[in-house]
This record gives sequence, C-alpha cells and structure tokens, in this order.
Amino acid sequence: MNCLSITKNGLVLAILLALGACSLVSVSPYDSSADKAITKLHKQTAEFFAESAKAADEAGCGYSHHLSFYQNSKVSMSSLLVRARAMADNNLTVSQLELLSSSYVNLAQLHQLGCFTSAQVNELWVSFDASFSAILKLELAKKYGR
Amino acid sequence: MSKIKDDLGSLLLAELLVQASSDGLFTHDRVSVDTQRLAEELDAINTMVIAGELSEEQAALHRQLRLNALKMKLLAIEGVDAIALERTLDGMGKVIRRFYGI
Repeated sequence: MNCLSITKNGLVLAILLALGACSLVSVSPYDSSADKAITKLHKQTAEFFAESAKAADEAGCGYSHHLSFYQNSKVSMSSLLVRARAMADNNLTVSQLELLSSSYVNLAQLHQLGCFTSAQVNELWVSFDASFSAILKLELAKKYGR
Repeated sequence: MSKIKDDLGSLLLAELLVQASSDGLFTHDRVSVDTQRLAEELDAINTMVIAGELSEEQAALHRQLRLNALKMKLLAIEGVDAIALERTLDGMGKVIRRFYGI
C-alpha cells in the first residue's frame, strides 16, 4: 500500500466519519396534496395583498371588510397542520406551518390596528412571499431532491 | 486487497464529489445572506417608525412577521440539507453494493 492510497482511503474514511457525525434528520416523503393546498393559499394571500394595495385609502380597506379572507386562511392553515402532523418525520414542515399560522394571526392583529398603507402592503407581501417560498422549497426538495 | 480497497475509496470519493457538486450540500453562505437581509429589513422598519409611518405596536408585528419568515427559511435550509445528506449517503451505499455485487 503506497502513500497515495493511504491518503485517499484516509480521506474517504474522514469524510464518512464527518457525514456520520452530522445529525441526520429524517424528512417525510413529498405530499402532493400539501403542495397544492399551500400553492392555493399563497394565491389567495397574493390576491388579498393586490386588493389591499389598490384599496389602501378607500372605505373598504378595514379589517371587517376582509373577514372572509382571514376565516378562509385560518381554515386552510388548520387543514394543512392536521395533515402535516399526521405524517411521520414531518417536524420541519409542521414547524414551518405553525410559524405561517402565527404570521396570519399577526397579519390580522396588524389589520385591526388600521388600514394598510401601500408601504406596509409591500413589506407584508415580501414577508409572506418569503414564507411561502421557504415552505414550497422544502416540499419540492422532498420531490426532486431525492 | 489493497488495490481493491483503493479502487473502492476512489469510487466513494468520486460519488461524494458528484453529490456535493450537484447542489448545495453545504449551505452556510445562504444562512449568512438571509441573516444580513433580515438586519436590513429590521432597519427599514425602524426607518418607517422614525418617519411616523408605523406605530411601535405595528412595528413590533412587522418585525415578528419578518422573524417568522427567516425561521421558515432556516427550517427549509435544514430540510434541504438533510435530504442532500440522505441522498449522498444513499449514493455511497449504492457504490459499495455495486462494488461488492450485492
């Protein structure tokens, strides 16, 4: 056995040990129903922001005029969470959905304080887009990353 | 025997390099980019408070929404890394099985 082979085998062994030392989190399989439901909820939320941006200074901009959006998003979140919690090894997605659910509560609280300005709508839209992108990124990695 | 071990080592190393180069097996740079962006976003919210566009109560809710978004991104990175690692180990296992004809 020459020096080169010792080095190469040592390197492979070191890499395997390093990979083995990483905490391997099991990730659930891809769920097409969750993917579709998340995409649908994202569309509803984008429509809400588009409408809010148009009606920033109008009479119908208040929280009470958008109750159906908040109720629908609450129902959608509840369904998504029940399904996600029922799947094994799905802790990461469950945590993401719990955070998104909390974000909808924050959005409602913010709306109850007054109509959104255009600047606020932009801030909120970016924030929710980033949240949905993160959830879909993980869900799609389950499908295409394996 | 040492030649066989050497060949297996080469195959495993090649497989690891293929997996590592196919997508982000190591994603720490993305975390720092996202953290930097959060700092800028929180700064923008503070600017809106100073300009009188947001009350402190509204700003606190905006900050919470930004933090939630960042936490979701970090969870996605953790999941994508776990899937990449799982695929890498699976690929190396296949190399070993193929090598020994199992």
